[in-house]
Amino acid sequence: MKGGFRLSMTWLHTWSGLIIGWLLFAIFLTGTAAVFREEITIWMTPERGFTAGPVRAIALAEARLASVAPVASSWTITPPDARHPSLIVDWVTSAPDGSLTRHHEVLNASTGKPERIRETLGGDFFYYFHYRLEQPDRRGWWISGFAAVAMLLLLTTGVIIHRRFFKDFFTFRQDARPKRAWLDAHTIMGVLALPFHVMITYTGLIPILSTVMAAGIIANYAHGKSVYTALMDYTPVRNAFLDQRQLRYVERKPSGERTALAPLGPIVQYALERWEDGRIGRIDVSNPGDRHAVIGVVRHIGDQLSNQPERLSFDGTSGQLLASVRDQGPIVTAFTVMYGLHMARFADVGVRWMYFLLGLVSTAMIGTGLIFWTVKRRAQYGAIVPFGHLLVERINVGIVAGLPVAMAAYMWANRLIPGDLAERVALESRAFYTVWAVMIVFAALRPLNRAWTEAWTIAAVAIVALPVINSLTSNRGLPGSLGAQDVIMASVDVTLLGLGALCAFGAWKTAKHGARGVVEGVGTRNIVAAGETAL
Amino acid sequence: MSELAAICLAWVGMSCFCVAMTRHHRAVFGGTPARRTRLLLRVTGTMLLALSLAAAVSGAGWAFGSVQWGCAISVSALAMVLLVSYRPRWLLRATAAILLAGGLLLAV
Amino acid sequence: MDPLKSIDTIARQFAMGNPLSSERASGDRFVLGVTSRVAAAIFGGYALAASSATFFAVFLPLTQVEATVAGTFLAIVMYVCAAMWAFAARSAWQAWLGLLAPAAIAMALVIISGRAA
Repeated sequence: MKGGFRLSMTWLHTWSGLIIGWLLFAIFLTGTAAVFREEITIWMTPERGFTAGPVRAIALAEARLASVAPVASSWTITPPDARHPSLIVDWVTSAPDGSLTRHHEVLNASTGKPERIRETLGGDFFYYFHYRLEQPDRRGWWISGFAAVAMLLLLTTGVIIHRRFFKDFFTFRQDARPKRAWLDAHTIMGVLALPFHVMITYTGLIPILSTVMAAGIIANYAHGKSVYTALMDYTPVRNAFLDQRQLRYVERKPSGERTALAPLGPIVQYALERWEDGRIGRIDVSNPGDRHAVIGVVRHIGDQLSNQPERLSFDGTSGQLLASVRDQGPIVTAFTVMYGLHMARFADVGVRWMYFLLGLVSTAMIGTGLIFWTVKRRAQYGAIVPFGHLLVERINVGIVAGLPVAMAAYMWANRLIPGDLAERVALESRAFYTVWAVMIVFAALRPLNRAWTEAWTIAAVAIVALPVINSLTSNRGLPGSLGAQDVIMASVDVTLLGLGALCAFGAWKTAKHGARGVVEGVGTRNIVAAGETAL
Repeated sequence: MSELAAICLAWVGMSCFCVAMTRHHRAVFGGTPARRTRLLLRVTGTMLLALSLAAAVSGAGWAFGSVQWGCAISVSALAMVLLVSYRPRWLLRATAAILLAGGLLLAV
Repeated sequence: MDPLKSIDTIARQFAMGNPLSSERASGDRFVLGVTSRVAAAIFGGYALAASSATFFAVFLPLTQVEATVAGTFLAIVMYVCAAMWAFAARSAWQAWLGLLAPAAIAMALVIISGRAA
């Protein structure tokens, strides 16, 4: 029975790994990029200015809002911080017919003037792809959610079938035959970063849980509706649940009487004193200028693990503290902490870099697994390889080496498309998908060993060229940015050079090993022959 | 920079666990370790990893500190594998360098 | 068994058509068996996960919101276990039974108790 169980789990791990592996690779690689999505967005909007201190910035924002939206149903101010140097103001106005219009402006944090920035999704493109997979509504959530459960299954079965978990803990036989080397690489990356893999996958389900696992919520919050009604019209049920799960704050309807809004300065001071080491995350004002205005000050999301920072509510006319939020129970706290662990908004520079590195390791674990799958099975095929296997080998190239090329193409498009072109967001996105499709087709047409080398070379060139393009299309390119302490720009450029070097290393390695690395025939004769014929 | 202290201590702890294994001990030092040596190395490694956690928590609090430590042990273990697979003889030198660099950065 | 050797065994057995205990000999029965197990893992697994979420949301001795959230956490774990069961069970029939029976019992208990809103 023991042997039977391990055998079944091996079969399950192998086949679900292949079927979901490509999707998981894409989710993990774009997710890893999303760790630095703010920085990528800054790279993709080089016309943005630098930063000033938060208190002065808030005063500038207040002035701007007072001038451009003295009558509004709400204002939101997001002050700059280390990761985004811009000052952001949002406001909502309501028309007589009750419809709401949202307005959004990015202000220069030193002057308070609106900045003219090219329209782009920036790093958020990778973030959205990571969990929505370019699907409308919430359909993408179901797909990525299913992939996450499959990943948990793969991790669990992987641990079950890995017999020499501790004995081979540090063992990487890089000079052994390819089957052994690829398997070692795959298991090492799996074992050594296992806590991260499990954490990031399980917590990845948390943000979408109330949508994809609605059963318990419907049971407790449908309030008499039939199950069918609750499923078809799920939003009110979900809102009833969220009301209990989320932190409540003071809400008031506008009274119609106009009074001056209390100055934000002293309120911000009070909050900062109360929070000692804390920072301001966001300020929102409902009914500004009305007697029933409410000023909400939310703590910076980076100050705690939880995804729901503390919120203070103040009376908008007198500036008096009205409420600070109550504690939540341990399980709801666990929910918000797990949410926070996945979003990593709490992460300082050190932790953020470790998340990025470990994310690359997760991605590489999936990639080496996919490659091992093909290397292992090649051995039993001799000279005539089934079409299915050939297809898998080529799709591997198109996805593992092709996706990085597509991601680079997206950033190329950002710089090559004129800044004021109306459809530039759609064009940037199209560049990503077109280049990816081209890479997959390209990989399918080339002999296998050359496909890998060529694909990695293309990736290396495409990525290393990005800092060069940055210098050519903006005034914040590399040598200058280092001197001007333009930390974010310089870091992105240097990281791109490093990633490009990694791809170049991959190209060199695959060229050196030629057919031996990814194709293992029954004997040397067959390897060489197989390498030259129908690959 | 509690992450730095955590990573340095985690590295040394991981290297103890690594050379506690016969295969890697041979690669790094050339000889087979005695059972006592292996046990001693494992105990030292455990204490160093605990110290690593303590360093992270004392610098950044329990919540942030635990996350830093969790990441640090994985990152140091992965770096250890690369070193021990390609240049095992460099382990002592690498450990000394990391301790020196870490100590300097922390002092500054 | 060395993992490389187990994969070898699997590959050979797969080529012959029967890596799993009860799907023997003929290729058709094998494909049917595997398809059934995959369906059991995906759909039966979701049924078990959803019914556990409901069961725990209703019966855990915590406040309503805490129990509901705890139910969703446990549902994820149940889904993974269900998928493993679907392939470890002796036959595809057992796979389905092992998932749908507990799901049905859990839902029955929820409905009988009248605790659901």
